Amino acid sequence: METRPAFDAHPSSDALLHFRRNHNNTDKVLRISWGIGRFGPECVCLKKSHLFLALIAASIAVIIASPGISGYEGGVPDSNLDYGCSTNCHTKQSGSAITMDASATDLDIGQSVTVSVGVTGGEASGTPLGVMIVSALTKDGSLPSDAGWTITSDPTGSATNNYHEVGAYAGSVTMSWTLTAPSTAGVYTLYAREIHGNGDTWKNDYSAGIAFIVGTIAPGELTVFITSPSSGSEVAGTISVAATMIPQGDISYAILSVDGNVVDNKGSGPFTWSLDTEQFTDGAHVIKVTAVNSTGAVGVEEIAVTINNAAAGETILSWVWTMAAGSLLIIAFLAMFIVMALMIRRRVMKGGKVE
Amino acid sequence: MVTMSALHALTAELHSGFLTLAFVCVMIVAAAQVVVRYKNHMPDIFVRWAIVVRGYAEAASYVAAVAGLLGLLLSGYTGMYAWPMDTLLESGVVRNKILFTVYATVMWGAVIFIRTRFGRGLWTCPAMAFVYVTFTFVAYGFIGMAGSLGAHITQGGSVLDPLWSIVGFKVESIVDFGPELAAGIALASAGIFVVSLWLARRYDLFAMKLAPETCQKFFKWDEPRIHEPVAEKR
Repeated sequence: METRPAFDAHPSSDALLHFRRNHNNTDKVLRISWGIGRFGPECVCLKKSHLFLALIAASIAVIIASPGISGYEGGVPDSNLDYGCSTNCHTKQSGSAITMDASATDLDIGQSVTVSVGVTGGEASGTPLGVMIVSALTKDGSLPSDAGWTITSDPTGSATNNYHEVGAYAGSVTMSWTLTAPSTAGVYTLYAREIHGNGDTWKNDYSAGIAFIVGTIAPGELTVFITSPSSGSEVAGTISVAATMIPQGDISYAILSVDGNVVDNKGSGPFTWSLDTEQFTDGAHVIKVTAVNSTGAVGVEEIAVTINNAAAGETILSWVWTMAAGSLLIIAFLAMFIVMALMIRRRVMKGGKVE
Repeated sequence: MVTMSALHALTAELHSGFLTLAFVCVMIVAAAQVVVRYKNHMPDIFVRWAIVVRGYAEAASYVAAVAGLLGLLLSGYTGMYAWPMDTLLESGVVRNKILFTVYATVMWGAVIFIRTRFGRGLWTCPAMAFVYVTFTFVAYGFIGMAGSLGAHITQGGSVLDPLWSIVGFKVESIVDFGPELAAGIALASAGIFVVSLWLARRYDLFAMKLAPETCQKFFKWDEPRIHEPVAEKR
């Protein structure tokens, strides 16, 4: 190892990197080269083994940093994406809230409908966030067009992609697509997913989806009865919604919706749902169960109920008051009767009336 | 795996059995005290049995009441976790059951308090014995009501239904004072309690002990003891 007074770049084109070490000020000459000894004895050369170690270190660094840079760092352009891409790229459940709404759920064939997806919160503040609508939660064949939908307008208003991305998410965003219903009568479901990066590969699905009844479906082949709650009843708290289908066999799935919004979709019985009415405002609501069997027949039953959680809360409060007041009364009576008994005894003993 | 509802059934049987034993024993002691008090008008055999039985029954009632109250608390705990709380409170029958169970717990606590504070000497003071028996009777009535409502929840009916029908109590209609009346009752209870304490202090009742020598001027009620010699007729 030799030192030189000056520090300059080595002229050799073979060198990936070349420094020299100054004798006096300890600048070190460092060279990475495929060759050995080509730069003379003044160089400290990184040999093949050094380069190999450096590559391993770089690989480890990439692996460590991969959650933040895997997927598509910086986002991807608006495009038509299957659900599968986001399954592969984004795996960690986001803390965001995702909602989905539609302008109508009973559609004629070819009718236009607007589907809106809202995202609130999450980890993507100031960074890209994308939302897609899909027709299935499967890796492939999940584009809306695969189910017969036609996107006529995406959130940009000028394109027809099922995936749209905002460059700098500000904590809340709503995106709307306009679609044309499929040309074949049936029940179709659209789902939504939001994905974003910013430190990890976040995702959040609206897996309940929105079910659309498109066209006229042959009536009478499948009948749905909502056995609980009863129509017109007043409900509060968590209630059980139960439905029975006739014929009972071969039910492909049954959808519970409230006021046209899908709450859950069950692929097998028993078709009973636990519904927290506190998620809805007090007042009149419509509970609807739509069932589809293996022949494609659809049965629908809807009932009106009145949610009154405010009254239920007051009832509970009053009940607690009753419990507390009754207990205090018992304790007060206990004290009073004991004192009375002791005073009677005291009076009798002092008076010495008898015997 | 033992489920919470199975444990609740177990503890329910436990407290029902113990509290029934306590109730029966208190009533036996009360009856025995009357027999012994009027021994001059009773057959000797009755008096001898009463004296022996009341001694055992009195001790058994105390132990059974304590065990029953512990079982009742356990039963309340297991009952809370046996079914989802939200679902439980939606039922008027369940709310009534919880209400009467709480009342029964307080009542049995009062019964045990009286017995612990005054010992078996309470039986020598007729007024206190009356309070003790009355509280035991009402406490058992509350636990009976709670048990009957439990049977309604699990079996759909109860053997006490004819009684409820006679007294006009509908198990599904919620017992509810309303917040205003309940607040009034709570305030009145606090007032009664404070006045009782003041009276106890005013007449120095806190230190009072009940025993044959301090409480036998009028009724001459014996203290129930185990292996007590047969009292002589007077």
